[in-house]
Amino acid sequence: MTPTNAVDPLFDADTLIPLGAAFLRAEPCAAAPSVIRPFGMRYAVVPRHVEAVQLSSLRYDTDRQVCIDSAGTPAFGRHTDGPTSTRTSDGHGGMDSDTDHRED
Amino acid sequence: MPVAAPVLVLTDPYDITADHVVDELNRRGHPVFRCDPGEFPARLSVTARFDRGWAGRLRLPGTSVALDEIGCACYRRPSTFELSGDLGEHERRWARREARRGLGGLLAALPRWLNHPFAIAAAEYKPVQLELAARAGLVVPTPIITNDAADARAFVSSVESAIYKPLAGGVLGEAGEHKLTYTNRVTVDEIDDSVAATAHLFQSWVQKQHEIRLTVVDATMFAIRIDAESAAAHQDWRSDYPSLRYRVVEIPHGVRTSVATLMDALRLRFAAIDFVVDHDGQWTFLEVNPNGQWAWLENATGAPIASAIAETPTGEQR
Repeated sequence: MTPTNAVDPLFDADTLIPLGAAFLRAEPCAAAPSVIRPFGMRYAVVPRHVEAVQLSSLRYDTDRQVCIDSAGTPAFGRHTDGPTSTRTSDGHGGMDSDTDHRED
Repeated sequence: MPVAAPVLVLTDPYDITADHVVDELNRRGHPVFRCDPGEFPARLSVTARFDRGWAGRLRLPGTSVALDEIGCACYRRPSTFELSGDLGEHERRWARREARRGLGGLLAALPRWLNHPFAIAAAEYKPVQLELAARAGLVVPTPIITNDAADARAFVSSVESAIYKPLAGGVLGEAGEHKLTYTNRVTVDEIDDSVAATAHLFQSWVQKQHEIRLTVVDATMFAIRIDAESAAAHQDWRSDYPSLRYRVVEIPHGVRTSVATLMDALRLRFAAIDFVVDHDGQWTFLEVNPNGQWAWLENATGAPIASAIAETPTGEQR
């Protein structure tokens, strides 16, 4: 199944090695929906159950190589299900947000 | 006693699912080098030379790993490259492409993966999944892919009940919000000419008693039954997690054999595969998620999925 033809429009090289791509994630886009849209897009909805995760309360432990809270407890011990929405300082007085959906 | 070959985990620092595996490897005393390729070139650096094979090091501040000593690489959720803010957009595009082909190419040349990113990318195509699943002997729903509204209407009319599902995951960011596109029941009256705007997947609705997420790690399989207690979750369990109940169930022998064949055909060692089960106990294949989530199922049922994943690269040392 691994394609070898670099000009194959279905499998360009960027798709083949999605390292560094926002693979399987969508960044929030400010653009409003256009008037004419593909049929399937009418079913896109904001998920009902979003658990907010404050990244500012977590840090990456470079020794254990896992994400921990201020008490040193691995964050995965508290993980629940559903999509997560994270907000943290961008270091310039604003807040960055990101949502990771368990879409797959 | 030989030193164990390190496991390379490629993902962002806040990937809690990867944390489960890293913690399990730590518990076993197995060396791990976790990095986010997105930190290249700002924090992550690489130098490699070729002499009958690539040799060199991936380096983070204070730590590094030898490329030719990596025992197994696990591909999870890398973020975007951290390119210099001094670069213009034109230069950033060029630098991103070179980073992907350079760093990405060195990583792609590693011999052992769970899963190789090429295999993940190829397996994401639902038409390929359905074709190979049917060839492997699994029961699949009747699908149609079309951008012809008349053909879509004819299909929906021809089956007892039909659904629409996106071909590419259905995650959408617009108007400052993240949206998801779940599986939706559709009627003939709903279908209009907007079907012509792109490819659409319609599928026969399978009457179901419950669903299964089957997590496969090489020959080890964990089947978790998912019972939905709301109408929304019955249609697509992702839409209403609080209404779900989970338990581990047995896998029919024929399904297990077919899944093993499908995994080989897709060149995958890991996958989260979704099935629906009807009132007669018939398992119908829905889709393969080659990089699917599983940690919440381990939390809910105690199924030792992280241990099975950790066992794979460490077991290869023996």
